[in-house]
Amino acid sequence: MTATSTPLAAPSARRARRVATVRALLRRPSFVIGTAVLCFWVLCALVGQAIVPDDPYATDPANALASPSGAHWFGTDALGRDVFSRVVVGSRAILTISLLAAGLATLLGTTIGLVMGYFGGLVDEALSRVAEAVMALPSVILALLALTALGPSNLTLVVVVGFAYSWVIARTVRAAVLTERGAEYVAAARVRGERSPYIMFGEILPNVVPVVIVEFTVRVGMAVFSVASLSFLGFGVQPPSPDWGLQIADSYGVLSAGAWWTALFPALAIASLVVSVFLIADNVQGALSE
Amino acid sequence: MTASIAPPAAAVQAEQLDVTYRVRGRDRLVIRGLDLAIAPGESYGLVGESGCGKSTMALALVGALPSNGRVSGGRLEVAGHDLASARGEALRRLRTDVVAMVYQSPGRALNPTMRVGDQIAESFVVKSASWDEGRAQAHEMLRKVKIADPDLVMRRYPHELSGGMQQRVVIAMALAKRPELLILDEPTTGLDATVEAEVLDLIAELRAEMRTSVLFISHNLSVIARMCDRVGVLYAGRLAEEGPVDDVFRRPRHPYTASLVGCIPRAGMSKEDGRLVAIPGALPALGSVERGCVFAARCPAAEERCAAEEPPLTREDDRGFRCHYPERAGALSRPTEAPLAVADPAREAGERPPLLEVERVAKTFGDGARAVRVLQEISFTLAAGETLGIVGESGSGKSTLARVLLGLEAADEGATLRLDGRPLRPGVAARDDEQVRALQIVFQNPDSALNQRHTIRRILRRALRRLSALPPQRREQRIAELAEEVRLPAPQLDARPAGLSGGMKQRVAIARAFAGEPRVVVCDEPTSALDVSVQAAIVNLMVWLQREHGTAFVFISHDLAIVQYIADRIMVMYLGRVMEVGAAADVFSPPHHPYTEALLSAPRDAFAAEARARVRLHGDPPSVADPPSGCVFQTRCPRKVGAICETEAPPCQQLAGGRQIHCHIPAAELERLQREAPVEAPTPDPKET
Repeated sequence: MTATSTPLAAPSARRARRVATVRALLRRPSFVIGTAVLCFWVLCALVGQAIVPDDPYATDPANALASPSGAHWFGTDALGRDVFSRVVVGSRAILTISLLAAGLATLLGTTIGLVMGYFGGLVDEALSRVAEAVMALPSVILALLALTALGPSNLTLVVVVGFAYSWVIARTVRAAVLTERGAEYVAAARVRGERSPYIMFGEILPNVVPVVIVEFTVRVGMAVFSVASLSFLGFGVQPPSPDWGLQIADSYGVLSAGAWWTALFPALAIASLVVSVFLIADNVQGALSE
Repeated sequence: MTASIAPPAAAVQAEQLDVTYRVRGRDRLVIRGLDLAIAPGESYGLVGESGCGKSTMALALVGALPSNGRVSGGRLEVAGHDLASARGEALRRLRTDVVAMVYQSPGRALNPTMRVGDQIAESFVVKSASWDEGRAQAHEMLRKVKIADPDLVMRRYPHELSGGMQQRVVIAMALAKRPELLILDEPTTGLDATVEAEVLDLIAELRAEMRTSVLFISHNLSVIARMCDRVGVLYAGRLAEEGPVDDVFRRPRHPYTASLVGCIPRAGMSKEDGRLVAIPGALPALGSVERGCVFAARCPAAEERCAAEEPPLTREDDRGFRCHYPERAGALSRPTEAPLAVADPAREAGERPPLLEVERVAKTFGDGARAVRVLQEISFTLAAGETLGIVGESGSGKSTLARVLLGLEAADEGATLRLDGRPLRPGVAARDDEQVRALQIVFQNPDSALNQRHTIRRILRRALRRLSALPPQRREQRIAELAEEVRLPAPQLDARPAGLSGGMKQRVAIARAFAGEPRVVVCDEPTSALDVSVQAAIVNLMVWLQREHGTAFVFISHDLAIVQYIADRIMVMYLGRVMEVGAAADVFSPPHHPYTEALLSAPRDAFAAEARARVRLHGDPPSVADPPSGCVFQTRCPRKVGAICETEAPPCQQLAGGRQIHCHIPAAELERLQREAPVEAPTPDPKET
C-alpha cells in the first residue's frame, strides 16, 4: 500500500506478470476457442470410454453403413460399429501418442540444440549435417522405414515420430542458444570455472525456455498429423482399435457407395484437433514474445 | 530572412508545457509545466539523466511523440508556429522547413537501402527542387560537413561508412533544410572520443556560419559546456534550473545540478582527492511524485518543506531555478573527503613483486590470408592492490586483452602470463581453482552479465559455491554480507535482475566478482552503461572495495576522466598496440604520445569551457584488419615527422618512473612541442571556484 512495500514487491511482481500473461491470452478469442476444442478432446480421451452411447468395438452387421440418425449420430461403418463412439474413444490413442512423441522430440531436440549451439565448431557441423539428412526426408517416409523395420507398435510410433521431430527442434533451439552464448553471463560463468553441462543447462536453458515451449506446442500439432497419417497408411495404431486415421483408411472402399460419414467425422476430428493445437501455439508464441 | 521586418519569433517557446504518455490505461505526466525559450541563433543545452524527459521534449518539438503521447497542456511553438495544433500538411511543412533533428544513432537514422547521395538529395526534393538540383546541392552539403570526397560518399550505402561519417551525413541532411531550429539528440554519444571531438567542431562551425538555433540534448555536461550558450537541467520532467552554461555549472542554484557536476571527476582529480558526489536513490517513476519537489527524495539538502511544497520557478537575472534552498547547492558539487585514509598500496608498488605479469601477448583471429592481428606484443605488470587503467578507442584491442587475461581467449604462441610467479595457462578450464578464483571480471552491461532468469540470491550463491571455500551452511550468511558490502538492500536478493535499477544490477555484478576474494578484478567499461550519478556511486564503491580487500584492478575504459580518477597507472592503446604507459599523474602532463595528447583534447570537463589550443585528429581510425605501415598512428598523427613514421615501427622510449612512450619524436622534443602549444593545462586546483 505505502511506499515501503516496494522492496518486497519483487517476487510478487513476477507472479503478477505471469497472471498478466495468462489474462492477455484469455483475451484472445482464437486462444479461447483453441483451448476449448483441445479440452473437449482431452476430456474425450480421459472418460470417452465411459460416456459413449455404444461399445466402439461392437459389430452389428445388420446395421452396417447406416447413415447418421438419432440412434447413430455419425452413422455406422462397414461392420456396423457406431462411428460417433469410435471417434470419441479414438481421441485417446492419438492424443497420447502425439503428446509423448512431441515430449520426446522436445527433450531430445533441446539437448541436441544446446550442444550444437554451445560447442559450435565441428560438433555443430556434424550434428547439423545429421539434422539436414533427417529433415530432407519427409517425416512420414522416415517413420515408414523405421516402422517397417521395427514392426508397428504404439511405442515405436512415439520413438520414431519423436526422433524425426527432435532435429527440427534442435535447429530452432540452436539458433536461440547462439545468441545467448555471446551474452556476458556465459562468459562470467566460464570465468568462475563452471563446467559446460552446468552452463548449458543451468545458465542458458532457462533463457531459451520460451522457444522450447513454443516448439513443443507446434510439434504436438504436427505429431497429431503424422500419427494420423501413419495410421491411415496402416503403420500406426492397429485394428481393431478405434483410430481416426485407421477409420478414414477403412472407409476407402465404402465411400463410392455414398457412405461419406465414415470418413468425414474422423477427418473433422483430426482437423479440429490440429487446428486447436496450432491456435494455442500461435497465441502462446505471441504472448511469450510480448 | 525576414528578421528585419518584425522582431523574430523565438526559435522555441514553451509555456507551461505538459506532455503525457498513456501507459497501461493511465495518463502519466512526462513533462510538467515546462517553461523554455530559445532565442533565434541561440544554442541551448538540455541535460539530465536518462528518463528525465529530454528526448520526449525533442520528439514534441518535431511533432513526433509516440502514439500514446500527446501535448496535454500549455503552449509549444517553434519559430512562431504552434505545434500542438499542427496536423497533416501543416505539420509536414513544419518538419521540412522549420525544424530538423539529428539522432543518436546515425546508423539507424539513415535508410540502409538508399545511396547516401539520394538520401540527402531527397531533403531538397521535398522542398521542391528537382532531383538533379537536389544532387548538386547534396554534393555541396557534403563539402560543408567536410567530407573529403563527396562524389565517392554519395555513391555509397550508409553501412559502408564509419559512424563518424554517417553522423556527418545525417547532419548534412538536417542542415539541407536550412532549418530555423536544429535539434541534436545525443549526436556524439556513440562515437569514439577523437571522432566526437571532430564532429562537435563541425557542428560549432556550421552553427556559427548558418546562424541556426540549436537545441542540444546530452547527458554529457562537458559537451554541453563546450557547445551551448545556455543550459536547462531537466529532472523528472521538471526544469530544475536554467541559465548561462558557465554560470550554471560553476555556481549551481539547484542541488540536482550541483550533484550532476560533482558526479564527474574533474580533469586532474584522482581518488586520493576524495570521493565523487553520488546521487542516492533513483529517478522516481513517471508521474509518481504528486506533491513537493520532484528531487526531494534524493536531495541531500532537502528539508520537510521540500516534500510538502513544490518550489516555484524563481527568476534571478538570467537564471531560473526551482529550489527552496538555492544557497545550499554550491557545497554539493565538491567532492567529499575520502572516507578512508588507508595508505595506498600502489605507492609501495615498486618494492613489491608483481602480482600479474603479462609478456608479449598477441592475439590473431582467423588464419591464412584472412588473419587479423588485434593485439600486438603487449607486456605489462600489475602489483597487488594497484589499478592499471587501459584507455583506447573501439578497435584498440582492450577488450580482447581482458578476455586473454581471463582465459576466455587463448593468446598466440609466445605469450607468457604469470600470476604470483606461477604460469597462467591460456584457457580458464586449464587453470587451477586458486587461479580461477584470483581473476574475476565486471562487465560493461549488467543486463547481459547477469542471468535474467536467476534470482540475485541464486547468482551470488553459485558464485560462492564455485569461488569460495565456504561450507554450504555458511553461504547464506555470506550472501547477506556481500549484499551489505555493495549496499544492495536485502529484499532485492530475491528479485531477478529485471526488477533492479541499472546501478543495483552493477552492484550485484561487483558482488559476484568479489565473492571469492579475487586478487585481480578486470573491469571492462563497468560504468559506461550507467547514468553519471550512478556511475559516481559505482566508482566510489569500487575504490572502497579495493582498499578494503587490497584487490588489483585492470580498469578498461574509453572515459579518460574516470580512468584518471581511479587508476594508479595508465596504458594507452591504439589498434592493438601500446602507445604509452605511465603513472596516472604523469600521462596527463607532457611529454606524452601524440595520440594521448589528442585524447586529452576531447572535452571532458564541464569547467574547461574556454577555448583552448586543441589537437585534432582527422579521419577515422584505420581498420585493424589493415593497419598502416610503420607507426600505426601515422595516418592520423598531428605531429608526424616524415617518412620514418611510415616505414619504421617507433622505438620504445623509457623515461623516468617506468614511463614508456612509443614514438619517433624524442621525449624531450615532444615535451617542448607540447608545452609550446599546450593541449590542456592540467588543472592544479579543482576547487578554485
